[in-house]
Amino acid sequence: MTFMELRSLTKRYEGAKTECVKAVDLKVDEGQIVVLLGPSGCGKTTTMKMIAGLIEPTSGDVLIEGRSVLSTPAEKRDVSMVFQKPLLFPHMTVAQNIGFGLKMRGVPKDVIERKVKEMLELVKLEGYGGRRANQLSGGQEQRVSLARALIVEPKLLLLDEPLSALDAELRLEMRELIREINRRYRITMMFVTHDQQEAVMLADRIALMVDGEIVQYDGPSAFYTRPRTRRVAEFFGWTNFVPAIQKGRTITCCLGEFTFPGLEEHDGPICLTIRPEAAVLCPEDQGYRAVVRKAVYMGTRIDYEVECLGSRLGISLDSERMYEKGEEIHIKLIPSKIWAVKCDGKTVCDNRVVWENPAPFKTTSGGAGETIAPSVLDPPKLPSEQSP
Amino acid sequence: MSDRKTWIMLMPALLVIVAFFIAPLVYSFLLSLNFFSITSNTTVGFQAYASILGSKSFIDSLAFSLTIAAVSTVVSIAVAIVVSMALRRTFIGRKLALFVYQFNIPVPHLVVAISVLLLLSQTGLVSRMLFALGIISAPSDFPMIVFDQSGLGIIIAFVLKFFPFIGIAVLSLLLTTIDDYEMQAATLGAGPLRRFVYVLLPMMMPSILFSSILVFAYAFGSYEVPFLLGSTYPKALSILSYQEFTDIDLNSRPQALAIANMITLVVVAMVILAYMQLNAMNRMGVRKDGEA
Repeated sequence: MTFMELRSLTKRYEGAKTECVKAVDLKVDEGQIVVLLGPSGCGKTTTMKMIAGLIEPTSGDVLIEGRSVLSTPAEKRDVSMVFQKPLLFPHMTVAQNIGFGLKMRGVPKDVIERKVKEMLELVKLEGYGGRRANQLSGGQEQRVSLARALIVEPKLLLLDEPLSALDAELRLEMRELIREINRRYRITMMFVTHDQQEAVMLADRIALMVDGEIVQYDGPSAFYTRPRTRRVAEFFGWTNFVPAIQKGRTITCCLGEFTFPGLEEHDGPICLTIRPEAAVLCPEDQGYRAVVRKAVYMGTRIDYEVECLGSRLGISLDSERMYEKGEEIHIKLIPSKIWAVKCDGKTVCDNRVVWENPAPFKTTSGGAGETIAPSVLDPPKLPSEQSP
Repeated sequence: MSDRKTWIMLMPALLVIVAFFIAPLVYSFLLSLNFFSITSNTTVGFQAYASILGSKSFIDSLAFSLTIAAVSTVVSIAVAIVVSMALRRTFIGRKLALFVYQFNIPVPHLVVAISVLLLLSQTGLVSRMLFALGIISAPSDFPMIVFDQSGLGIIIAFVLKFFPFIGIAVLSLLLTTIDDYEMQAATLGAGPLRRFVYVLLPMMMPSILFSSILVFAYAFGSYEVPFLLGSTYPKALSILSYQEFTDIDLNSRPQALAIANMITLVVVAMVILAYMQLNAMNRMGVRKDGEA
């Protein structure tokens, strides 16, 4: 059931030439964690502040439980927000900070004390109630901030990059805490981050925002398997973009010429995106010849930059053996880790499901999940070589 | 940097402070005790202090100076907060408003005092305009704002000078991090008034306190503004002190310096109290810039 909805939400700051948030449409189901992901300055925080009622939208609407809340001031929206900085009131103790929201609602003192105690337990800060903000570590401050937002039992909890200033271990701990809170209280949450790993770990759904627009709104796995634009693919670590030409239902690129079952007709340039993990080593006679140009040891894997078919590809192989610069290797490509998008990074392509059906490429055995190798591909026909 | 280098760098400033501030204070104190007397009265002691503390005119002047300084400071704080709160929002003409707001900071107190005199005295511009418009039947019907015993004219002149000064400190805070704290309070259910009372005001307090100490000290010891706008009785302490000092009876000199030293004592006491309060706030985690 849709709990919160954004309808063509737009914000243009005074004096700005373009909109910071451009007609954003988004539906959030009850109890879900939706992560608003995107690079810095793409409009994530502005969107959150418009939902919280801290910034007035230029146009569009924010609906909570089906009702527009645009005319409701921030303090009456029942939407709590945790900011990037913990923003603990420095003249108050930890307990006073946590109980602030309840005090503003006129809740009796004894109830506030009891609930503050519960919250301190929840965020594992028992015994810290009498401390001041400057007596806490960064992680503790952010936990207090979270407790302060939760104590008022908001309908919607907005978290604006609350973990970005914490170290890796604390981030992990806080992510687990946020997930735990979501599970326990079923609070609908919107979480802003620019860290795709964080987004994937926390989200039920991810809304990827680029230049003020939501370019893809999907479950986390879809961003790895079905990116809709080149920009989405880039954001999620698809490092290889092979230019290709589509004519009708045929795609031509340096890998060869092929077609996809169910591929819509299109004439013009497209992009094949290949994940680094799409490459696997193979015997000399079965794969593409590639020359190692750069190798970076990453622990369980080794990232290589190789020269293959006249292109530079970023691939990731397991670390059994490290190939040196200049060494020749042979690779095959796993079809399920290749995707086709329109070249224009801004235009959402029509999400043609290239690999949903078996054998999208001509493969060694014709089944899905098999590998692509040059021996079974037709020689590539570049547009200039094609007859008019 | 070594300690020696640090001391060498500090030396010029320290020399100036010692030579032109501490030494005169010590000298003034010694003179108030009747050291270096040039009259037949050579008794050294606290007689001058006993004399002024038993004098009605001194007590009245002390009360007058304290009232004027306190009222000017409190009113300036209130005006500074209201204006700063309005100026932190974006609106058409904000730049012009900001310029007007800060315009009189570099204007000397003397000029402001003369302006108040020319505008608000019973023979001033406002009085004459009201008379010309038929609102008052004679310029003398205009309320006595200047030269009055309550010191209203002095307070107006001080407020005109002080509120932009306090306001700059408050506004700079309001335009930075404090805004985020206010937003945070709003999302926790605090309406505008409660946000101001529970969040903004406590966070502004260190800045307000700091600038208030300066304006209070200035108002308490100021000479030229009460001289131009004050009544003949009670006089501000600074005027009383100067009159005693320039009296033809040289035996009044210790009293004059005792009054001057009392001004210093009150100001120093206020500064110490304010610093104690600031330190307490710092211990609580509120720094002067309002950041946690």
